[in-house]
Amino acid sequence: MITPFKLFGVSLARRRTRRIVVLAYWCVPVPFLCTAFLLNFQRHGFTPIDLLLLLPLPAILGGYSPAGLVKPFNPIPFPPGPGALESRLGAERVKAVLESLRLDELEESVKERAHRTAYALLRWTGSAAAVAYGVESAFFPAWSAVCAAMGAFLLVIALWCLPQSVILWTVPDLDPSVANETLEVPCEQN
Amino acid sequence: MIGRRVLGIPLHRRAIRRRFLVGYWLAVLAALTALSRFPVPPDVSHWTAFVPLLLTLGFASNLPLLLGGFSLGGAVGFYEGRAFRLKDAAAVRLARKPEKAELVRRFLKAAGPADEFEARLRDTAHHRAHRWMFWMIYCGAIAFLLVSAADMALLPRFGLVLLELLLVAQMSLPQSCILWTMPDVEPVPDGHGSEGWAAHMRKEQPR
Repeated sequence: MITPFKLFGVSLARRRTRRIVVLAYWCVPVPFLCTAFLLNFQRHGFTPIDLLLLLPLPAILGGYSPAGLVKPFNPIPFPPGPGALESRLGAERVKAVLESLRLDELEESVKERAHRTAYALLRWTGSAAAVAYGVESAFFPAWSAVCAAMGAFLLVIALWCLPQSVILWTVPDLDPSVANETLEVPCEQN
Repeated sequence: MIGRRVLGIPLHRRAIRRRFLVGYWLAVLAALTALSRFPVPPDVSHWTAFVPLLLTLGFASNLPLLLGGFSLGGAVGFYEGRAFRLKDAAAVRLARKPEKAELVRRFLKAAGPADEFEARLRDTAHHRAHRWMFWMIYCGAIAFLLVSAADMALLPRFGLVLLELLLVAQMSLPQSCILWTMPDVEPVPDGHGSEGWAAHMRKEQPR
């Protein structure tokens, strides 16, 4: 379920390392983006820039992107014909990389279990946020718009990143042979 | 996992389940439409103006109980067996008569997915629901963008409706997915679900 990619040269085979990465992820870039969103919202309202702010975050964790720390949840289709990527890297190499990112039966099960856990977490935090929003809008109505926008922004981030965080947090230490495996596949000999 | 009767409707056939789901989501839509018409802060002048708003919120928030999954006696069986076993003692204590306590204990022990297949079905439904939520939130964000561009004063009311829709969707989507996709099943005999449970308790009491 975890890709053999390294994050800044650090292997994520050990669960302890992965947990540190997850904590760092939720403590540094997420609050930073939320602050950026808040400042932008207060000055200019809701703009397309806010949607763009969301794009780089999940790419790190993977799942919904092919180059993150977690394997893609949905299979990446093989390129239909010789494309730019294939001509640069070689068709066999592209095929091998895509094949290595495909989930097996066990990984599918882990993926679905992680989504259920993420869903349960979101349910509770979402309910708490709704109550907090109700209380806040009753006492500080002027802040209602900002809080609603902030809540929606956080919800999108959580939806996008929680399953991957759950997977990185819970999957046990990888087998050393798998951990040392790299995606270096010999290039096609022309 | 499914096939119980809810509000007297037998849900073992898929066609009936789908009609039930359409009715359910129409009820959610009606509640949200009503919600969008009530005054919200800062337009509220007196606390009594909150009452219809709170009643509608309560109605919409309790609708997912019909679908089960997270609640006893809905259309879909409990997702979590273990969590409710933790509350076993409290539930048994509530049923003061020993024979009822025994039935409560048996019911709670049967909660949760029965086998690997049901566990997998439950997890797959959550995965799909998560993806739908994902798109819903994105559409919601774009709608938010459009509303805020049109009139910032509409945002509190729109935020409330959107938040309620997301909450209801989050409580209902996995169950809707299961109920919509599962083929026809054998009807679950009385003894499961809210009505069946009550009937079961009446039947099994020693005379």
